[in-house]
Amino acid sequence: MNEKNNNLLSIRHLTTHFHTEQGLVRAVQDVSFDIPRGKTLAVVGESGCGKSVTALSVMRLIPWPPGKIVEGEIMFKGESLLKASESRMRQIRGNDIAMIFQEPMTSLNPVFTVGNQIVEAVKLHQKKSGSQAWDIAVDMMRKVGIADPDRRVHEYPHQMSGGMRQRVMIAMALCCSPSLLIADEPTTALDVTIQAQILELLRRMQEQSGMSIMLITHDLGVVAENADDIAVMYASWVAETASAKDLFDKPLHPYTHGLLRSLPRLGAKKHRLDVIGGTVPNPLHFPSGCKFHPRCPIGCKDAHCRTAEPPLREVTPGHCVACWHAEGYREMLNVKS
Amino acid sequence: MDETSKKLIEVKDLKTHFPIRAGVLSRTVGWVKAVDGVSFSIQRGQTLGLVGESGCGKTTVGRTLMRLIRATGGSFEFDGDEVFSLPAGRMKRFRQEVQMMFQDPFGSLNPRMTVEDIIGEPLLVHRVAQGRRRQRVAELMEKVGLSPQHLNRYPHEFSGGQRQRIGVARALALDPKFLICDEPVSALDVSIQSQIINLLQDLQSQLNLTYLFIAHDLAVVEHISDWVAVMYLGHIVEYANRDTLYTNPLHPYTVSLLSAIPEPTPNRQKKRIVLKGEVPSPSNPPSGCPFHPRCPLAEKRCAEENQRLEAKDASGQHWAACWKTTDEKIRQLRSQSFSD
Repeated sequence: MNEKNNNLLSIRHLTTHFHTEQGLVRAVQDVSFDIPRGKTLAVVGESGCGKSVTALSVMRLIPWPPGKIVEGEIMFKGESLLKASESRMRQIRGNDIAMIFQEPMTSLNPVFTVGNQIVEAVKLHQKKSGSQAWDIAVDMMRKVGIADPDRRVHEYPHQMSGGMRQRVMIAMALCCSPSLLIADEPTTALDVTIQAQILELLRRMQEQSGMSIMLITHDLGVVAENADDIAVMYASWVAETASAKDLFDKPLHPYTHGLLRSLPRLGAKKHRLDVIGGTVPNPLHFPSGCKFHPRCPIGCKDAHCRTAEPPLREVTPGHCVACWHAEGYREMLNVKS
Repeated sequence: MDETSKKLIEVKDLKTHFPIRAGVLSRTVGWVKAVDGVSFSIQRGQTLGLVGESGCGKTTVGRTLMRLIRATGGSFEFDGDEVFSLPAGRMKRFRQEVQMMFQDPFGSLNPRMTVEDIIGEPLLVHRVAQGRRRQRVAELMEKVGLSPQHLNRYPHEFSGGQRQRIGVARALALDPKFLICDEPVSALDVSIQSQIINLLQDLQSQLNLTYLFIAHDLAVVEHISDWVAVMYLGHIVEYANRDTLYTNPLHPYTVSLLSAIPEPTPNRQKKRIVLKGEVPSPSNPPSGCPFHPRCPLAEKRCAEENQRLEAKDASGQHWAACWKTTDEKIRQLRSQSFSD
């Protein structure tokens, strides 16, 4: 199989803008990455970096107005999603590409039982009778680890805990066996012990079905243990893409480097944490040139970084970075290891 | 200094129960035991980290100590005074000396007040620094890393991290001795979290502050705390100095909690203890040990009676509420999840 066929999803130069009353928000700019079949790609970034908008762009769920996909190409199984008709998109959504959200309370309808909501998803995409669809719903709920599913399909979302609701969301997303699951901060609202349960569930479901996962998160711990590849986003653009191992072992972008160093780690016994100075830029007024330059220890002194936007380029095989100083910044910062 | 004067905070058997009311007459039909017999002490200038999952009662502990919620039972000694029976006249001083910092940098600042008014309000209420309030506010802003030129701005003009700094400045306005930080960094971006944590540590050493640091993130708590208390369902299940707790946890809940944290190191696949089930409702807690329905080591005795928090070593540095801490199984559980 050649490399092209192995990618389930390819995003090239995706650019999404929002025309707001305060001005033009360039939420996603020139974003490119691939998700291979059966693998997990994590999109990591801080709030407002455009990671959720990227996911919504893939689903073509950007509301117009104010939002618009201005440029780019999204290829899913060889089909261009940006050129697909609205009715074709409806077939794809929930069927080939499914999505789960951060807040399991607001993304479930409070006036229907959870069973009803799973059945709706099944019936929309598969020719099944009512009772067959219910069987699928009960079966899915059992698969995602809900005890006593025959009884619990008749419960309403408010009768369930946060972890259970997230399981229902996963059951709903997986009932049509999608080939791509987009998980937007699936465990952010959950406690650590429940987070461990949900992440294990996602891993198990991936092993069984061979689906690809696009995992959107800000938690680098979740990423390290669950992703095969990682795309780091900052202020609307991709700063770095690499395999999980490469990225954590040898980050090539000063932002990734700073982020990894600023994390408090278990057992680290550091007296002080390293910090990235400054604040996350406002999407209405992104800095010129490299968007990280005002906070970057090198970029803030370099006129080139201030004026010219660095392109995403492959520095070592499989490791792409958008930084003018990717090769030399370690020496410039006197990084030891 | 003798032993007692080194202690700033001494909490004994603190209980906060909320009534569940039902029916037309709003009769009390049951109690939510949000905090049920919590004891700890904090030395001057030190930090106690209080960790636990949502609903375990850690925020209620903070609010009860602030006297925002009336305690159902127990005692709270602050700097030698019993706070729950302080006369009204003395309460005002207590309110100066104990301040609180909140999680949500958006909800905890009044959007209609300027930064000067927000930070200056405690000064106004307590009639401190009269006539030189503006100067004092500017000093405070500088202390927390904000530019005093922004005195007249409104909260919406600041980012989340800067707003959290405003919250710190407000808490420090009256020169408090004790600061209760309720999840002060969990709403912030990763790159901003470390800035606020460093700020809190700097201020602690400059001003000799004592912190109660309430959080759910065990890595953050390890970094900032001297002592750590782990709460589960209204009880402290383990209480020890930081290094002891993180290297040698004795309670199966602490062990599982530590093993559940995903770590930013990809190659290390730790064997995770995935706890079954969820935290039970505090209105209907399980019999015996509150953790027994989820505990990998639970046996018959655990369902029947609860072990009280007791010292597990000779020096009194390590306390746990579990029958099985000397058992071979807890050692196995620990080595299973901590070996590389």
